[in-house]
Amino acid sequence: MGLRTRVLLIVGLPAAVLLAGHGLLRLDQERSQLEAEDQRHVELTAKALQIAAENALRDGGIPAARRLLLDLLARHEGIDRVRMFGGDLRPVILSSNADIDPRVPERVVRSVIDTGASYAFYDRVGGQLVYYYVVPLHDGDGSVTGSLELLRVASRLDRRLGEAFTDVVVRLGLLLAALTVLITLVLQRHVIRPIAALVAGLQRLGRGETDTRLPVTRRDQLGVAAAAFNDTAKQLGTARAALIAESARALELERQVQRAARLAVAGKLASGLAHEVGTPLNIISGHAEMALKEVPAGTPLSKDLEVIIAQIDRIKGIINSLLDTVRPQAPVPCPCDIESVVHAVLPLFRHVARARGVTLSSTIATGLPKVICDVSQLQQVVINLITNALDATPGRGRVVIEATPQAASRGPGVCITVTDTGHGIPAETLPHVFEPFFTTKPRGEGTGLGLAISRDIVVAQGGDIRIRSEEGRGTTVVIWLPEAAGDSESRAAA
Amino acid sequence: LTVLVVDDDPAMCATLRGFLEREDVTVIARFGGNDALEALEREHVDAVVVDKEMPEMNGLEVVARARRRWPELPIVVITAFGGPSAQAAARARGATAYLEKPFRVTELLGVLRDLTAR
Repeated sequence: MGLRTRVLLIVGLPAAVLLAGHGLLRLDQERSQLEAEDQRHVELTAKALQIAAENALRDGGIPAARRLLLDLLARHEGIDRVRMFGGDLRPVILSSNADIDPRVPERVVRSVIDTGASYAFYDRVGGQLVYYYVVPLHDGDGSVTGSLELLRVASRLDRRLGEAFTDVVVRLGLLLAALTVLITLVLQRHVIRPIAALVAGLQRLGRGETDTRLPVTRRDQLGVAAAAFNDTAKQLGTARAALIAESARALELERQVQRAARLAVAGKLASGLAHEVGTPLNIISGHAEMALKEVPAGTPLSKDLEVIIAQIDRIKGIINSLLDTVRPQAPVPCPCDIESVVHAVLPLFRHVARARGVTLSSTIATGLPKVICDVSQLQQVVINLITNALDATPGRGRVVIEATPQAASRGPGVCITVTDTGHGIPAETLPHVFEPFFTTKPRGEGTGLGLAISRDIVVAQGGDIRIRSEEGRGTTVVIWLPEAAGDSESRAAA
Repeated sequence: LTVLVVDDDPAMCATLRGFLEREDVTVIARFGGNDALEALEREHVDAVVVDKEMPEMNGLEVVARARRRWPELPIVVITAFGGPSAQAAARARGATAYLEKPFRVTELLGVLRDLTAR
């Protein structure tokens, strides 16, 4: 049910009931008033007829009275029948304008003659409501000799009441129609239209149009709602922009990290290959050089040998330029804040962890000293370890990254541990996990270089990396990196 | 001129020996670091050519140990496509010269003659 229908029902129904009640009350009053008027009219007419009839009877007897009554009746509207009764209760004079039940209300007539008091009553006769008024008739010395009965058909009153009823109904209808129009107009202008604007605004907001604003022209609750809407839209816009910026930043970082990881893998592959082919190439060129010394210069054989040596040089050039492209940029070791490195990397794995139902958390000790490392390489290490931990951990498992200060034989430093509750590593494969190209991941998923590269990075900075694992219980990788020289002192001074 | 050649690859050793001996250089070949250090103790050697990557003992370890014992001994480190960092590491351990495989054996000969002439 719409707001308009509801308000119309809520306001209109009681109003209609009230107005109808008021109308009925008015009709009732009208009826009482009409009846009183009727009775008074009949009463006055009866008084006049009574005096006139008594005089006529005294002066000219019944014929005179009959003439008089007929004459008077013709001139008095609203009296439908007049009957005169003598002492024997038989009508002696009758004049009638209407066809009405001729029975004589004997008890009443007798009572009037006996007591000399007037008597009025209503009776329903043949489907018609009839008003009787009976007055006594006195002779010259004041004793009652008969009675005069006046009758008025009160149903005529019904017609007038019907007119009044129609009047009330028409007025009531007009009033209700006016009320309906008024309510509709007021609702439309002050409620429905602002709400429709609010709804349209919300729908646009829902589609992401956060620049949607509503005009705040009212000072009522709907105006407050519009202002609140504008505030919300503004905040949503700000939050959305921040979110977009944040995800763009995370995406960019992820892209950089992936690129670095790809380059690291390509570099490792290329340098491994280069290392393997270097010696055989050297053997070929060495033998060619030896042979060249044995043959006279300028012969076809010496030219062949020169071609071999030149082509080996060419291969060397090709491999060197390949290595220049993929060899990672020389690391720039500088003091790194482990907390910021971990916090930069963690968001990259949040969605993967959530998708796999794994809880990913970090506990970084406060006041952790900085370590010496290349920031992007340290990120690379943390990424490799978290990737391995997540890959090894089934749903409802946990991966925890911790960092605590720890002194080793080589001096003060920081321990970073990545612990998972995954399937663990069998004791027989554990010694091989740092070997390049060693992987237990499904074909195509792991390069087998993650731990090898991580170890290279950590060892190059004078740190070390160790791994503990228990099959079915989980794996912990512990990295130790030396503290940046003077970091403790500078922190102590600060 | 006597040169100790240390490389875990026998074919490489044979190649260097074949070339250098034709150039009247006496070659002592060893395939591992421990053997090489032992030969240095026993034989007279004018210069050492050592491969950087060897399974039993890293070439740089051989360089470091030999350098401690014989500060003036010319030592040439050879390695396959090592790049600037490998060269820096070799120099830091005390290598006198550094050559990347594949190098010209004539170039090696030139380097050895230069180093021993001093």
